[in-house]
Amino acid sequence: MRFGREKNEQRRKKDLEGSLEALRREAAEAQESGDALAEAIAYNNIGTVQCDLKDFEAALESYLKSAALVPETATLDEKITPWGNAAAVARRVDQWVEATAYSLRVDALATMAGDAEQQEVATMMMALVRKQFGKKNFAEPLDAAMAMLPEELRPHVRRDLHADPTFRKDAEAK
Amino acid sequence: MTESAGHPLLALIESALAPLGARPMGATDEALLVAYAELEMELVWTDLDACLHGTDPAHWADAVAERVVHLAAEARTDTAEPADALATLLPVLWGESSARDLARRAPDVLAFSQAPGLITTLAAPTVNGRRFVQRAELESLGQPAPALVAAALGNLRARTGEDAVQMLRGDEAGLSYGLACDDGLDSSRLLILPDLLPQFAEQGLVAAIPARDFLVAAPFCRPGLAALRGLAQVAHDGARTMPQPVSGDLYWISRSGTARIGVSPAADGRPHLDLPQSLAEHQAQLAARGLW
Repeated sequence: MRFGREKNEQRRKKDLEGSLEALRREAAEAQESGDALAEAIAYNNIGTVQCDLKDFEAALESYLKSAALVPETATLDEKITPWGNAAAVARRVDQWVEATAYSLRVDALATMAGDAEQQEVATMMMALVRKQFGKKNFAEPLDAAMAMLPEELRPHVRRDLHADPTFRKDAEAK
Repeated sequence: MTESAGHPLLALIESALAPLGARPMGATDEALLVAYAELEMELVWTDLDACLHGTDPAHWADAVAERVVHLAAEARTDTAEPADALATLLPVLWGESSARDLARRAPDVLAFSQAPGLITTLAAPTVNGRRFVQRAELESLGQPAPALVAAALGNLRARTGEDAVQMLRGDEAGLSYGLACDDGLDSSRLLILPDLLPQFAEQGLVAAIPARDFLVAAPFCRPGLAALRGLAQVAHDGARTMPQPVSGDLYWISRSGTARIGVSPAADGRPHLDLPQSLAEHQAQLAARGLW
């Protein structure tokens, strides 16, 4: 049974490595043809496969490369996806301030677009990082993460909501 | 593992302790995996330092593994009087994949199914952490299994502070909550969620429990709908990337029952939710009563 499990694992790894190769070819072709969005999507998918291979450092690099490639004309989802993925992997590799900054990017982009659903995605992502730091200690890393954002995005972050979510008791008292 | 968080050796230690995907560690491999399956231990730095001291770095993983096996042996003999044990039992939630591994590695651990696709084990505190109650202990505890589960849920309720339930958002655009108990058991609080947010006990709540110590939720009503996508995203991403993953799906829970809401990635990046028929019917009933 153990032997079979290892064999399945090897097969799965080989499949994933095959996907990785195909996606790298896709990224190279997109770069050659000057299709920045296709290249960004390929790098995002490369990151996801690297994540499945547990190569989290490489996955983070791929997601950040994807985020940098996404053109201004892309849809909100296309802009947000690599930042959301980068935040998840940054949490995994203990880069918590960076994870906060990537989550804030999602928040700012969603707020700028007035997309309530994506704002909630950002709210949940911020809950994850706030939990890691603890509510009382969160202001400092939150400000450090804010400082990592491009200046034009900062005003769109719902900083107050993330810094001090209202506890139930307080909310009920209001 | 809280003591080791952020230390450069964390990766090494985590790889040494990684449940069930652990790399081969020679003679101690099987013993380590069984120990890990039956127990959850806090390894404090002084303890690790002692076991790594004077050891060639090439053998650190083996040294940690041997220490864990030794602690496991100690913890197995660490039993309390039945009355004390009942007062300290706590529920620990496992997702499908980790539950399968647990059943294979430690088939004697007492396990219950209280929600679809999840199992609950009962943890008793030890000097170094927690150990899971075994089937063979049922008789000595002098209580039927349902009474043990009820006691564990009661203990969990008692140790959930009033400020543990955090409102993440509470405006016209959305309503969502998160837990912040810092005891490594927030996912277990899925089972007592209707007690923690009794104002939604009838509609129920939809919760994401991607990892052992994380739970976010939204009420199953119109103001909570905006949070569903966020919950699905966090469940899906968190179960793939967080330590001690539980589930990439969502769970609906009310005082009248539970249901699993499957989450699958869609081509456009937005996670797809597979709402079970029972929940669609519940929604129709709520609407008919003006509660939706």
